Amino acid sequence: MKMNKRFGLKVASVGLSALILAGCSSAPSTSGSSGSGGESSDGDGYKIGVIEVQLNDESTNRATWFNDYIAPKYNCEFMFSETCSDLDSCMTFIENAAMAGCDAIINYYAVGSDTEALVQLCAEYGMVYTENGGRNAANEAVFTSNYENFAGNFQADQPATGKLFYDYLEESLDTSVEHGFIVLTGNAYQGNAQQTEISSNMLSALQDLYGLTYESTIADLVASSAPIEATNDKGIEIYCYPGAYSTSGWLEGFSAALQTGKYDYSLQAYNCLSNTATAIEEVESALNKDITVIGFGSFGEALTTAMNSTDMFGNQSVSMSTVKFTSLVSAMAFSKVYNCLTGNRDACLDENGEPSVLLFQMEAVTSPEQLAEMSSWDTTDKWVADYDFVDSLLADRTEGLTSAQAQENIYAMNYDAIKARLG
Amino acid sequence: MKSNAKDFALRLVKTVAVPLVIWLVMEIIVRSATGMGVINSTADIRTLFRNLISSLAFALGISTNLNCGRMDLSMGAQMYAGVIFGGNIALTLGLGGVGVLILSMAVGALCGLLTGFIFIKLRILPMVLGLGMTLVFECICFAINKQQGVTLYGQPGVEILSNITFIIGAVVVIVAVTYYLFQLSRYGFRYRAIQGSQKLASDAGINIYTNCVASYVIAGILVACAGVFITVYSGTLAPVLGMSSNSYVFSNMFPMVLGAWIGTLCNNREFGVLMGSVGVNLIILGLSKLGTSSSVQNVIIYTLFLIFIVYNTNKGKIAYFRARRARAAEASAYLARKKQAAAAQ
Repeated sequence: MKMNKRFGLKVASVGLSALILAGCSSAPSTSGSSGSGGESSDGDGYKIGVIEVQLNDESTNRATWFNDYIAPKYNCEFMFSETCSDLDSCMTFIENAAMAGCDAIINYYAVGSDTEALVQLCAEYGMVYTENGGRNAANEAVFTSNYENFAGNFQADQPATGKLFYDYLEESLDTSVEHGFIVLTGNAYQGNAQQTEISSNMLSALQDLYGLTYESTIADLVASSAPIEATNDKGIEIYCYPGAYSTSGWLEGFSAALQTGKYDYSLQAYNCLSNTATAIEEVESALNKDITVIGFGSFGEALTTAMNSTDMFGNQSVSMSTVKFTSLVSAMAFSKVYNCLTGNRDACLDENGEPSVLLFQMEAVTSPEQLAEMSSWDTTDKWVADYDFVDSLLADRTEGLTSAQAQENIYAMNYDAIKARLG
Repeated sequence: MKSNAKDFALRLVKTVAVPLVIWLVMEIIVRSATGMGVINSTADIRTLFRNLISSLAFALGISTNLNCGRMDLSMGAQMYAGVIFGGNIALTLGLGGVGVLILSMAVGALCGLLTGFIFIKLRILPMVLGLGMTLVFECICFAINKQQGVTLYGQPGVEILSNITFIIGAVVVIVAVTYYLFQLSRYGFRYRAIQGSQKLASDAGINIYTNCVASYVIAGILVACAGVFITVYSGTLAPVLGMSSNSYVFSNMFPMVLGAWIGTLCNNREFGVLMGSVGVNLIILGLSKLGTSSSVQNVIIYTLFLIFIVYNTNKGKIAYFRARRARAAEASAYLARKKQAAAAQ
């Protein structure tokens, strides 16, 4: 009997292990995977390492675009990291990528102060480097030091992203009615450029719309690591609440602030639509108060659910959000490293001969229909960045291409142009 | 009979007094600083109870193994595995909130079973095994569902998990079931014998290995249950790597330790942990009302935890010094009286 029990336990454990392993193997995963080199090879074969900062809908979409769409056409192979959230993990991945024979690195983990160390490390291994970030005081030296392997950066046009929120507030906010605003500044206090820009634009929009003057500067309000009231001469209730939802006590603090009853607008500079939804719904229900949500987002289940659900007042859970097309951003990254690898580094330099920063513009989305339309675009059969577009960013396929022209081509790929092409 | 009732009432008052005092202190601080109380609306009550059930279940899960000398650091990862696997399966099958809870607990139980089985077979140090299993479970969670974890926000039928009546019912069930398991069941008698002395228990014929595996299974169920309520509030549970899941183990140590101490006042560990969880969550809610940043909240909570640990560890010494001082005072008084008597003569 004892023997049987023991045997049963063993069988259960082995069975569980097998079940879990089976679950893992059947699941598609981007981590550590690599795309196979091409059917048609009209170029030298290159292997490119991609450092991912988080793994979500966007990174999965990116891996599909690189592996299934780009790899065969441009005879490239891609190798993806797992989540890299600090300099050490990025360096470890770069070393592994070098051992695996990578020729270039595309880095989505962008911290300006770490850029030079990563560029130098890539230089040691003879790899080209580009990252998803801008040019700022922390990484200025990399742009001026003439690193031959540095292809420059690519990022969202942050002022333009912030302006989307500014414009929406300008259009939709009725200043004749009393409103209060809680601004989720996210990691702006840590120097996150996107969240800083969006938060600043939101506060600027309120300043202009109400004609108010803050007691502190907008830069100080956004850079605060502790919750802070944006006290102003018009007495409008504005509260800047920094941090991330995953931090202990953050959601409770957010809920507590809403429960003061002072705020009926939640302006979110950081992507946390699905994480704040329950707290907002509960406060709406407890105070019988409609709270309007305007926030940064990205294509995926969270935004789709938020856009398609309504609150107890029958309003859309999220009034406005932003989206970006993954393939468009990926094409910018690819063009940077590919141009360098094919000996066309000049196409990655600005008019001063320094590595350029390519910018893309996000789009605003305000209705489920618009979201559904845009979501359907950047998928396997309908990539926003198709071969024609990618070719328009590659110097060996577009004669005399300069960085400025590449930038023009990217800006030309806007909502109207995409809609005209993909419907 | 009368003295029994009086004794019970006294113990009950002592037990409830701890969270009550905490609430009173926080209420005074919060009211004087903001003009509002710690609990102002139904949203606060929901937040309190939802956090209460998650910290209660997690703290009970930690204490299940810790009381027998096994510090299982993989419980945070077991929680992730339970909720991500169980939640996704339940959502795929359209089982709603109750299905998510039950299947998550079932997967949590399997994770506990696997960990416990490896422990008794390989006899690796529990903490070392916990670290290893953490990495394994985290990687497994990471590999499935395109690294998306589980999203409960907006899913049909999941709203029941935010229903206050359901949450209170779940709290009652957890306390009642764990009380039965640890205090009244055959497993509980053996568990407490092992807790006293593993060797003596084994010599007395208790199968300490079966009991150990059962403890891991119970802990797995409890942490998965906690994870479901954590996920309901934050909307999603994204997989983590690099032992980040351990943060849940450490953040629930305070309610567990405070609860264990309260449990000694009422001779009921489960009720003690419940009161400990209420106390700690009242502090967190109060600090949130004060508008403190998350980092400041953590500093305050962990400082209080440290102070409590220092007190709890040294309470014997404090009692000893108090007794010694009383004896010294008694001796001084005696000498003074003797001197006085001598002077009078």
